[in-house]
Amino acid sequence: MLEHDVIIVGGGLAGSRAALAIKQTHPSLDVGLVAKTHPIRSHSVAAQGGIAASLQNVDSEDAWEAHAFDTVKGSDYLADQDAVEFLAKDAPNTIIDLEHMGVLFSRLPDGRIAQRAFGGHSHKRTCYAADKTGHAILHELVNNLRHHGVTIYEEWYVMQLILEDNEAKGIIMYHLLDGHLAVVRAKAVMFATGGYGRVFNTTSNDYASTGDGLAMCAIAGLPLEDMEFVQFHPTGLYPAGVLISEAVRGEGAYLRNSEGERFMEHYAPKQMELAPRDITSRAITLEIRAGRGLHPDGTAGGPCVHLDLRHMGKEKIMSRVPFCWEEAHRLVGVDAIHQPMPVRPTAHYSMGGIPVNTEGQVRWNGDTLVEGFFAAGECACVSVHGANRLGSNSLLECVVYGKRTGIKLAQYVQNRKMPSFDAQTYLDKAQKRIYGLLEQEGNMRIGQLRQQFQDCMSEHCGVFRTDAIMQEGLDKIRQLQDQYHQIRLDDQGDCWNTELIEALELGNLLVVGEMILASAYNRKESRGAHSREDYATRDDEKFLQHTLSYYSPAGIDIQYMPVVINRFQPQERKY
Amino acid sequence: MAGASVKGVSSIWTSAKPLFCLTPLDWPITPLPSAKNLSFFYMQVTFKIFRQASNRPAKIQDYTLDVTPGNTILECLNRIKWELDGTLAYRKNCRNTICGSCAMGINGRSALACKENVRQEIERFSPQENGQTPEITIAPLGNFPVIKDLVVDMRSFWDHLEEIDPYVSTQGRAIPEREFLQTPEERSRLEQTGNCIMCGACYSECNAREVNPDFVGPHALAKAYRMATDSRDTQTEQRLEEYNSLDGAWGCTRCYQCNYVCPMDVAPMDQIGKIKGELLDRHDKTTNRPIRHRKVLIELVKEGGWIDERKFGLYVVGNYFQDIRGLLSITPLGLRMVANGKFPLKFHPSEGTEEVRSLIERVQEAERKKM
Repeated sequence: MLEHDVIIVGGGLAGSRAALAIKQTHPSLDVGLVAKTHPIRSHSVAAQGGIAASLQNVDSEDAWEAHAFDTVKGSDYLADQDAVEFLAKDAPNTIIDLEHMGVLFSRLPDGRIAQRAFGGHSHKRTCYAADKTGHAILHELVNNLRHHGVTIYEEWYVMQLILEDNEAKGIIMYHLLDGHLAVVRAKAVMFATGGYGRVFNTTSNDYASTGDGLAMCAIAGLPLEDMEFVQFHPTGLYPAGVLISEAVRGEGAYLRNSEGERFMEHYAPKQMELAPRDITSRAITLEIRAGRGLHPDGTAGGPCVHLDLRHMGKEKIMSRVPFCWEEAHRLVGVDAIHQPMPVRPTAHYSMGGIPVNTEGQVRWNGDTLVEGFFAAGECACVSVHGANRLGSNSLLECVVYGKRTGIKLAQYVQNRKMPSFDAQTYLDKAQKRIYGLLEQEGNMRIGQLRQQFQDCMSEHCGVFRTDAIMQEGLDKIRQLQDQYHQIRLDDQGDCWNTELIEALELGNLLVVGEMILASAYNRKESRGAHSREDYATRDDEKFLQHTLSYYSPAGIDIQYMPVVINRFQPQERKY
Repeated sequence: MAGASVKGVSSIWTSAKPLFCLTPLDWPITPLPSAKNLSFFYMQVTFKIFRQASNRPAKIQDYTLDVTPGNTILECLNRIKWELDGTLAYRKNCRNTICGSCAMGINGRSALACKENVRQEIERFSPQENGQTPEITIAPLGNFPVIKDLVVDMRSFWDHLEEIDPYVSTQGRAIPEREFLQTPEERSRLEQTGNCIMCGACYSECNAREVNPDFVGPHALAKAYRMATDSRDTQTEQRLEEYNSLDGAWGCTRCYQCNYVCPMDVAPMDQIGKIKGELLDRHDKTTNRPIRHRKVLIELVKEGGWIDERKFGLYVVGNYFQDIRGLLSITPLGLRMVANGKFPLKFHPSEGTEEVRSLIERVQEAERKKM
């Protein structure tokens, strides 16, 4: 059996930053980090636009309070304000910290870190590295992992969280290389497993974003918080769904409908294209519904709108957002210097996740914490994003709370014994599950079931929702879950069997999808990214609280938990 | 598949079930039929994929798919895996040329499967003749042991990266409360190498790696240049010394393959050249043979307009008669040349010696001013 003081699952920004924080504060601690890809391939690497902090390099009027207010308002008042306060206060230090570590930020003429405008932020506070900010940060962090002596288990797939008597004790993982199963015992386990974009058929997320960590928690009986809040990013490149960064609008691009009109003036007259993402995504969806979308050939009525960069000019486009130009050119043959890009909303980010306190420790419910278990990053819900996340706050959350959780972990394990449990039972169970999947004689390919499921989620839990649509979706999902036992695998081998991994991931997607739908069905109001046509307004009296959903094969139990409001009282949200 | 050919479009593009992954701007061939119809075209392509288990000989397996010309190679591989053969193994993740997972051999050169598309591959490598089904060949990266199919063991790649200390060191420098200042100009020097996604395409094609297993490779040296050039790093001199070897910068044979295949325009060979330049500025010809090689070359060309081969061997390999082993190593070659009447007994300077010398001096003068 493998042993570490701390085992971290996930090698993206949050996981890597946490591992480094542990080693920087307590070098003698033994830290393991598991990732199903090489950590440098994690989805954090794809983050484009930037990372927010009130550094005041460009806007001397900015302050952490303004950042906190923008974040809380953006969250439609569902964010926990103690968590937001720490995020906004610690942001400048966090950026400086990254810069000292070697991250290549874009610079102002005087040599300080450059900052730009971003949706929902009242000041220019987004630091960036052209439009490859995630790449710039992650490469630096991952290189440092090895430097600091973190043991990296790359291309291992974690199958189960070992949780006994409200205490996390370790994990079971599967080695892609040779099919070897291993148990890792640890004084503390941390999840930094990222999001679940693959629940939907159109997403900006990578293939690995299958909500594994969330599903493992749910199956272990732990709650998931605020799962109904799914961010649809307004500008997914049509039709692929890959992201055209908000930085493009931050730098001045326009959204136009088939009449060439900048339609955002009807939805957010002040902030226009830089309104928060939930509002902009709804605006695009409404324009398309009203027949003012475009087909790719330019005729009206179709499934996308235009993102117009032409007035920005070649020099600005190629220096500030070169990757976005390249994406459109590579994937749809559009030269954005001369032509508008076709875009529509794409599933992008999970505001909800594993409930944690502000030190990253996982909650069992509103009052009790789980021993030995921590989480940070997109998989966690601390909650700084509430019902809607602002752009350039997610990288920030990963780094701020990754670091904070790491520091806390290092202290937490000091006086903690290595837990004991019967490893063999877990190994046998995992082995049985694998054999079951390899040997089951179904008539369906994984891809077929996954496609049906993703279509179902996109249709029944998209940008706009109603009771009837979601009820139908829940019924369908349960039918699809029953079909999981009818999938058949071609690959029965134990070397790099990615078909088996896809089957395990699909199992997770099915759980996460049901949690999202059930949470959404029960929230009978519209708030942030959760937009109900049958309950069109926000209902603070009933729903100014966090959803906690508990999974069981028989159904999902929904409870609620209060929101921390200690600074900004809820108001109507206007832009 | 319906076989109706379309006016103005080669007969392999046929009309069938709708696939909307295509926009008119994505269409290569003019004149176009009405743009609206374009989304209904797809074509048959055979993918010839190298398949193998670890340490076993590879065999080529054919898969024929109906695809649209705008489909990326990765999308095609996914369809093979999801619709035809679930045993096919390859790495993938972001599908957007930033994670670096899906580098593989595509039609004979290393490239990202998510970056290249069917249309370009066919236009470049399998032009249509007599309506034959076009073919695209997919193989694992070179210079790596194969684990399964298109998945290779990248351990040496990461180990070699580690050898160049790929982290900015601020050791010995007071860490300010705020950021280190770095002008846009200083930052722009790091732009190219900063774009590296560690996909392994350069390493796969590297000819120097084929003969020297200890050569750290283009990816590591491109990163090395970034580290040595980063204005915040305090270890520049130590780093340059570390790279001053045949396993480092001097191991590069300047074959251009890494520059040619790099999907992110990192141009590793150019970065290696810059490291060499830094080393040449800092050292005289006594340092080591690679440096002596370049310095003697310039000296001799200045002297005679071209190289006096007799002196070149004696000076570079024999280190001006000081390196006895070096001298002995070239003696058999010299004797064979004498025996065969090939040894140049006299040196004739080039007629343009004056002109060559003045050109070199002008360039050297300009270089000095730049520094």
